[in-house]
Amino acid sequence: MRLILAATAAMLVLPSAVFAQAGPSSSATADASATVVQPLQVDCDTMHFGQLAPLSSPTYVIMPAQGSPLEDPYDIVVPGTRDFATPGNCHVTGEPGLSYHVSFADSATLSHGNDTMTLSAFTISQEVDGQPYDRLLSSTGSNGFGVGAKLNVGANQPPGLYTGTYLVSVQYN
Amino acid sequence: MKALLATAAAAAFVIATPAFAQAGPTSSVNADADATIVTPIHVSQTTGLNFGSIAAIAGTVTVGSNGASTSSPNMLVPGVTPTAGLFAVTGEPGLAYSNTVAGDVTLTNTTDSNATMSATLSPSAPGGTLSTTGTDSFTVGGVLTVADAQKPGSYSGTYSVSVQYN
Repeated sequence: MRLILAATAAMLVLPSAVFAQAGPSSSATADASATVVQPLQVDCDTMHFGQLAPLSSPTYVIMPAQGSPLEDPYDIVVPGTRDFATPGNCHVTGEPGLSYHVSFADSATLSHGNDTMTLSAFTISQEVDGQPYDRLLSSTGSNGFGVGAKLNVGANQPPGLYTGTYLVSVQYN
Repeated sequence: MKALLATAAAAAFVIATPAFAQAGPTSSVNADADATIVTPIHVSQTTGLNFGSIAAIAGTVTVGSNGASTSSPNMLVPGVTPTAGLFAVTGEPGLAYSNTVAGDVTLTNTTDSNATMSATLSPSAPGGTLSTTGTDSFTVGGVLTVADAQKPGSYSGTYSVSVQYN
């Protein structure tokens, strides 16, 4: 029994001694890698609705993501400004060939002083593949899309220039 | 114990990896949007079209959009000055508009609905541009046809006038 214990102790000591005395060693060159891609960036032109003449009851116009003409079921667009309405054309840059996803906030507010209008139901222009919210950066790392929305105009909406912002987010898939 | 720790760490890593893959770096922008609400356009009558006092003989009475009146033959009775219809337009300063005036109006004897006269109408201009204060005006003249032995009395009628932004 004592012999067994002694042998065990020797085995425990031996490996420590081997390392400490710099005996046979083995080494290898290990690989490490990382790919840095171009960060996604998005920038959008201003979405212009033009001039609207409100009615005594609530109305709305819809900006198609593809652009003019505005959908104007209540005939409130001042005709001479109809062609000036433009969607929010967004420009995306990033790593060539990577796909990305687009998302919008649910709504946004345009304001003039204390008066407001709500922008809602954002839409995005179609791509050929039918997946407009998942898009592909080109070989030069660019892509773009149009943004549409519904502008809700209140009854007897007070005159003025209403401005605001809406959130557009992009991220790599 | 070491084995347990290793297993736990690996499992955590496996779970974490897909989560990161589905939520890559996000870039956002607060994009601008704007719309201009304009003052609604409105038209109201300031002065009614009045062909004056007319003798009951066959002929025509013309009231120009400038208010000048003539008749053929001479059938206007002095004392009542014919007037063109005058309309006030209000709306968004600087915007152009067009007006639409009914082509004619029927005037009916106020005591005999079977006695009528008809007048063709014409505005002074097809539209205009609202001033810096958002106002403008136009007039409406007409040519009234009177029949021989037209029943005497007061005649009146209404016609539609509308304005819209161009």
